[in-house]
Amino acid sequence: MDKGKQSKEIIQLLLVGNPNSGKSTVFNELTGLNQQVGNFPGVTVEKKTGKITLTPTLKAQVIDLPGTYSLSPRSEDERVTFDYLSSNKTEGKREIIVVVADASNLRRSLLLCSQLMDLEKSVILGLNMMDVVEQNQESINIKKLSKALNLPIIPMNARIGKGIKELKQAIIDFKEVKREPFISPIDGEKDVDNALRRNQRIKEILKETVTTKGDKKASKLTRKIDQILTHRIGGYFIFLFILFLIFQAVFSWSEYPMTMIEEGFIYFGNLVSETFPESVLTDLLVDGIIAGLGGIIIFIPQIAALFAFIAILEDTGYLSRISFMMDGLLKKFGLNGRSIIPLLSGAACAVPAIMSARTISNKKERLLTIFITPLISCSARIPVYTLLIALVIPSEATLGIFNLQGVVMMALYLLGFIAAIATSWVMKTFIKTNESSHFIMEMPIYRAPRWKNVGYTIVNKVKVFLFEAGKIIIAISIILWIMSSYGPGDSFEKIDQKYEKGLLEPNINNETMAEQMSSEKLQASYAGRLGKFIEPAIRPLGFDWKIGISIITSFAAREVFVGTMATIYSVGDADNTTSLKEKMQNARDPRTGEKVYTKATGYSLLIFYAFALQCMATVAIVAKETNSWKWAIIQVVYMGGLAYLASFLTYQYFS
Amino acid sequence: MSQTIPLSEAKKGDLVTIESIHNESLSVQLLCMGCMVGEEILIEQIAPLGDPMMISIDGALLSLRIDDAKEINVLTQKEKRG
Repeated sequence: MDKGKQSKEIIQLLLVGNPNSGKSTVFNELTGLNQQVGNFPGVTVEKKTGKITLTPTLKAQVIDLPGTYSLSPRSEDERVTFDYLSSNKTEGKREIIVVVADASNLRRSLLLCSQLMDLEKSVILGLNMMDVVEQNQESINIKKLSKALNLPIIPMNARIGKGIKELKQAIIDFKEVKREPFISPIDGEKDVDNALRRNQRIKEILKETVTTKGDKKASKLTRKIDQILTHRIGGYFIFLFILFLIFQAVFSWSEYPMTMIEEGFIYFGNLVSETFPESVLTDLLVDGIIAGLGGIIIFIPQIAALFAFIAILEDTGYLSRISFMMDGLLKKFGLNGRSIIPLLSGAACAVPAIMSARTISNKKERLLTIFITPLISCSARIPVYTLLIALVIPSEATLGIFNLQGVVMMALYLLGFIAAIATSWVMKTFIKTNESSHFIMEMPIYRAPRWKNVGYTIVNKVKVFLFEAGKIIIAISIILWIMSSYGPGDSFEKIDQKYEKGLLEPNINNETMAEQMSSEKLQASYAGRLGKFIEPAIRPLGFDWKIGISIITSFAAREVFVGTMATIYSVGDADNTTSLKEKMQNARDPRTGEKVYTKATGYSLLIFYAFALQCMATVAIVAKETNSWKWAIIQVVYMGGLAYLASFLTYQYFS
Repeated sequence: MSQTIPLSEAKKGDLVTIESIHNESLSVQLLCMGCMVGEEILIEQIAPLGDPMMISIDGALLSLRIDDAKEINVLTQKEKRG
């Protein structure tokens, strides 16, 4: 290794530890903002890496491996760590492993540490959370422990950055030592027996090195808080209140920045189209790329808001309690106690909701949660629901004492929820998993949240969404733009010619004319033709080709339905729903002469939008979060099929 | 008088000792989390729907589904504390 002092060396530094040992905090303290987030190849387990400079000639590539209790993996996360440690992925670099241990729970941490020692790894033990040890009135004889294990040991309190400097120094000074095996290897020994022998040896060592004076104060306090927060009745009220706060944050507080982003992009788009000469390129830039970018960035406030809450819940230890309280109920549907957060956030927007399913460590339960979340009625459905309900239900109609419009709105939300859990209940028997079915979860002690960690979580989540899902969204949005802006042959030129004269004449209302022209163009476009082409297929649902076009264009996002309808019915201002409503109300089927938007069609269309996966951002994020297009496509087909069937039945029933 | 029961039948506040674990993979997992035969467990809470249960062992809190708790035989020690 020694090639003189001038040579520069990069070592590989792996952070390993139990869940809740404060490993991420150590990682954040080591790397600062110098970190990248990606996935481990082939799986959807978050991989955090960062570079640090230890001395002018020594750098380290730090990799934060998923938390694990042992080297006998039971979940996808743990398997990643296992694979990483058992195969040498050092790329010729020197490798040092820092085991981050919860010092107040040493027995558990040392098991993993001892397994690594027996793999003949270069290990440094970071004893984190020393403050809790103090609170518990325990004391650890670090020197003795270090000698017994034959390891460098650094006492730390990473939350306040204590021990980080010493850890870095220990990495710089690290020297290989020849070590006796922690437990003598026995060929063909069962995992159980091996773990048992390790546990016994650890117990012996700890008897010599750890002294306890009094009651464990920190865990006592946690128990007291648990009496309140997980109380049979009170606990649920508190949980409901927190859910309500999250919902508010994602649903309404995010609205202000979202409106600003939306208006900003419209302004920017207009600016570009005014500055640049009228051309295909300008159109692509404005309606394809800028609109697409706007459609991505608009999600940032909701993602930031949701993950701020999740990071706080996770950091304080409350997330595990939510899991504890909800697990009994959700388990029956193949879900996890933690599924409640994605399911509820799904009512605001499925995209951050699906991203939040990462906190579920069981792969099957996470997949089911991701699969059913888009069935929950999200806020993008509201404009569609509002327009259609107003269209087919008179505002004075009542059901008993209730306003019928309100009842229908609520029924749609309820329907989405029922469809979601029913789907999960059925699907749980079809999805097979090689993961352990045991579900043992540690409940960490309650601690104050670390705002730095919250910040890092938000930044990382937003980055992942922008750069991973963003690519897919931009691609789909350009395809949709081409489909609705181009038509086969010279159909567009003909329309241009037809209107050219009229538009130039001053006496004719140019605005109406322009609106009619864009309506005709949309109908002549590929999307328009496709809408007409699928009309026979959607007739049984009570839809005409105009609705067909809107269904195609609103694959971008559900609310696009309203905008497309406005274009087709030549209503200039898409926000002016009253005039759109009037035009739609008066629309008649040219074949039968009957009204298009009867109650049957309206209900059928409402049901369609409740179920169909009309959202490219969701498709993109599902593909990303499940690490395959397989589940994204199954989801589109399943929800589309469900929507078709349900709309068909609805239409047939009401007509 | 102490008797052997599945952990799933223990009540809130019970202090019990692990006697045997039937399922091998469960047993490995529990060992890795610091639970081994002969260890004392305190039943801290049982979730309102009767599942899962929260236990504490050597100062650490764990949540355990009832299905898993059925596989663990424990020896009852004392009646309800407090």
